[in-house]
Amino acid sequence: MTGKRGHQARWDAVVRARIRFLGALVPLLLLLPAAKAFNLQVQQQEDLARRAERQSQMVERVAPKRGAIIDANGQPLAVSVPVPSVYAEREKVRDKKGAARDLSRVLGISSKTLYERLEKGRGFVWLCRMVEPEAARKVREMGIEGVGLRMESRRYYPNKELAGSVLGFVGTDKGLEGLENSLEEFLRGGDGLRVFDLDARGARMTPVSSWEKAPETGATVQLTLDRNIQFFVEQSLREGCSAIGASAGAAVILESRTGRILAMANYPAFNPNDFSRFDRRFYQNKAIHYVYEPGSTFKVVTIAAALEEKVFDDMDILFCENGRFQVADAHINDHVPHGWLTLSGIISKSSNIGATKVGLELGKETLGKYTRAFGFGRETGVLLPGEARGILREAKGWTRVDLANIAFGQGLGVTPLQMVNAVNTIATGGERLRPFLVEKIMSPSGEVIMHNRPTIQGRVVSRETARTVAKMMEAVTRSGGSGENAAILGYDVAGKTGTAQKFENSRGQYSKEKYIASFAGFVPAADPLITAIVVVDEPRKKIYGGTVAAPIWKDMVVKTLKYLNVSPAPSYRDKVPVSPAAEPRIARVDGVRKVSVAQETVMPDLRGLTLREALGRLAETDSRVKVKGTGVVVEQVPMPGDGMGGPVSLSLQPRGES
Amino acid sequence: MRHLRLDPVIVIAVLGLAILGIVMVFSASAIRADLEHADDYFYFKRQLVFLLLGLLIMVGAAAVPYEFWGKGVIFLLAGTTLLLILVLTPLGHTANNATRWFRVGPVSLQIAEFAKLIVVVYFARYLSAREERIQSGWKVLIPPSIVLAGLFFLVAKEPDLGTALFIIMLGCTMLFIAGVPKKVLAVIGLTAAPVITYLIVSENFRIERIKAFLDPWKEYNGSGFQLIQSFVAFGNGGLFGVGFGEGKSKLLFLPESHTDFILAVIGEELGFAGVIAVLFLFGMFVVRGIWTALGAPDSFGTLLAAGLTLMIGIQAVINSMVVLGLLPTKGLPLPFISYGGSSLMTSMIAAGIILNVAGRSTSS
Repeated sequence: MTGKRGHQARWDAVVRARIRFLGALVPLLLLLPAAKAFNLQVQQQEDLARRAERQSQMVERVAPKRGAIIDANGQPLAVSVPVPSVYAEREKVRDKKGAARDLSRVLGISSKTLYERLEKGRGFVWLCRMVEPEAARKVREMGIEGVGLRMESRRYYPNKELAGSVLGFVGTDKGLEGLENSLEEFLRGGDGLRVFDLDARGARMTPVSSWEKAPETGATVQLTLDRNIQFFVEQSLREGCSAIGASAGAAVILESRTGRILAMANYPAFNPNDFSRFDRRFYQNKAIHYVYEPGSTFKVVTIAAALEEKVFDDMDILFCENGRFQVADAHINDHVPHGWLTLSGIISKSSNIGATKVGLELGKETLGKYTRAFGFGRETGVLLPGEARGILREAKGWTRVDLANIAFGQGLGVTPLQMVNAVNTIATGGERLRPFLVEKIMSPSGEVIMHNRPTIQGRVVSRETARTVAKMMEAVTRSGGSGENAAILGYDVAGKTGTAQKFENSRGQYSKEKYIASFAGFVPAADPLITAIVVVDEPRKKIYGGTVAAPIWKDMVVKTLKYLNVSPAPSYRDKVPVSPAAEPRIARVDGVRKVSVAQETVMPDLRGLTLREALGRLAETDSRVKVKGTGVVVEQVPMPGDGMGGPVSLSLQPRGES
Repeated sequence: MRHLRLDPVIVIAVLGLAILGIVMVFSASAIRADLEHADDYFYFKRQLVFLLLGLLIMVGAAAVPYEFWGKGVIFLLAGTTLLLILVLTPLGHTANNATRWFRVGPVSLQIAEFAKLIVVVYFARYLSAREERIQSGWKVLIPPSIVLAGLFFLVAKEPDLGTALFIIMLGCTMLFIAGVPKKVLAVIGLTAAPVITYLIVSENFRIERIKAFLDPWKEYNGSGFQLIQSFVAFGNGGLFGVGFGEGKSKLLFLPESHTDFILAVIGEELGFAGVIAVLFLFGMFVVRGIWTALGAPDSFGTLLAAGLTLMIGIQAVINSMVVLGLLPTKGLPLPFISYGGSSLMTSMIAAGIILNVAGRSTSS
């Protein structure tokens, strides 16, 4: 028994010792989590608390309502309208497959795509932005948990194509082109900020806290554009360009005394409501992007410089070499040979040789100085995105041939806006203005944030010189001038035609088939109200500024004058309505008409001439010319010596093949 | 049993933990309850019923002479085993890919929780009755080994490897305190180790849990997420917490915030102070429970009180270490505090039995 008792006592001691051991160990082990808790809650407290803060909230940016763009009369050009978008809070969508299938029927997105949007990632996701009201209604009726609608602001251009390339457009979140892009900071407004409490799965908790910062509506931008004038200009440009198969065109109308841009049109136009359906090249606003060689319109600058510098006066006459003149190793040609011409004649007959002689007399430094002073080679300051500066090399580096070329508008690149502004410098009496498109910018509360005023950027020539040049430009639109198609009954029109061959970069030489026809001018000549330009790229049926651009110019300017209620010049008052003899001249805009220049009433022999030479010979006839083939003329209708009047057709073959 | 004496230290520890528990279960579960059941009080109401029931049962158990458990242990063991088998049949209720519950009306019972208790009672009874044979010979260990292996198998089958392993651990603890020679314990340990290792490695998600434990930040968006969220909750609480109901982690950041990870919610809302209070109450409970065991009138009482005390204490240690990233994640609730009726009942019955032993203590 003692053995057993002793045994039990020994066992008892072991048990008690082991229980004591664990009884002490367990409370001691509790010190481990206590120590770790101390580490987390005291030592790492700041870091972890910051993390807690960050992960439990989400700041959501809410896009504000974009400001409107309105025209000079307050008519809307671009407005934002609320449009519903479909979103999902992914965790709350129970049956993702079913939801994707049901929504796919309404939204026109494949259920696979929708399912992926629902399945991948956490929290908020747009399922389909900017849906039709009908689709939105159906989505609402479905009442799928976790799928909702939120109003977003969609840009809408009520006039469709009108001024499309000036306005540009807005992508999902910001202005991408045109004024929408350059005025982004004003139009956009201020983002609203909303703070949501989030759960661990990234889903927003309801209820939503109120605005941290309410969204601010963007500013309203009022343009100088007049919707009606813009409409006329686009209409005239479109009809004119499509009639002659031109690839592109641009037109600008300025308010002469202020530099306000009343219209700025492009052909072909695009509809910013549907911008994604158009190729990128349609977005371009050619009035400011398109750099071209101005050709003869530039002679205005050369002559103005000569008069201002008193190198010549308006009574001087120059010998125009009967159509062919050599400068260094280059030949300068006139389309029509001229003998002696006054400066006015050089402008109105558009003699390259005459302009060359004036330019050579001026010298490169002086012509270069005036070219810059007229605003070439620099931005006009119109504040449109990506305005081209044109191409104007330093005058110091010009060769004699460069000087000769630039004097009649080749060898430099300008934009339509630069050119019209240069012509407007003559219209204003010698002061160059800054053309502008934005009249004022107003906050949603009506406060004016910015108000553009007409800005004179410098006096370029004296009032007297400008007057003299204007007089010369009036002769252009008179009978026998190269721009008589721009003449408007009842008004004196001052203008200048331009026809330039396109330089083909790929071939490194001037194209024989591709031309740029332009006409720039102002009206009424004595007290200009509007200055306008039309530039037509690659016209096909006709090529000359006088026959391609001038009729378009006239068409849009006539409509504008009528719209603006400009009364005819006093000298015309008694002649209105016009005499029957004059009537046909006005009525004809298609260019197919009896030749008005005496010496070209019979068809010249064009055989053996290049197309350029042949067209040069036909220049003043305004004949419609049909051309087949390339090379030199081998056949012509009518035959040499025949009377003209109908269309001319020429067949060409490469030289040496006939 | 003419009059009931309840040890005040144990009662204070249990009440403290249970009241803290019910309050924190409400805070931790309200939003989830609202989302899942459209009723903020869904979990709270159930837990409150279990708490009141549990307190009654504790007092009831305190009134029952502890020898009763020893005498009835065979029936209890057989009943538990039967229920563990039945829970694997279609009668069992499945949730989260595990079949662990019996649904009885609105409540579900987790038999494995009760199995822990039965293991302790069985081992205390069996070992105390064979004290002279424990220090010599292996044969004596065969029946409890079979019981342990059977229960382990059934619970692991649910699957609930955490509880199954804990049952093994409880058995080994009982063997240890019952004076089984160290040599024998070493052999048992060496045998169990490869089996347990295999069980862990065989399931991919368990490896993930181990990896998450080793470097939670690396597995941030995956398996480490829960642990990181737990850390963030503790850290956000600081010394004195963000205040009751003010915690953010429970907004579904922290999975199982009202069950296994409730200590993190306590850490966030009541701070380091709250965590220390909980750990202190457990420490208090363990020390008093061990003191009770050492003063028990007989060796069955000693092993029973010590085993049940350690069952509560070790669970508290494991749970708090898991929540604080000191052990790999394992699904063990925090006794008296975590949401869950079966766990609370089990803990309350254990406390009641310890109270009965305490009332009969020779040292008082």
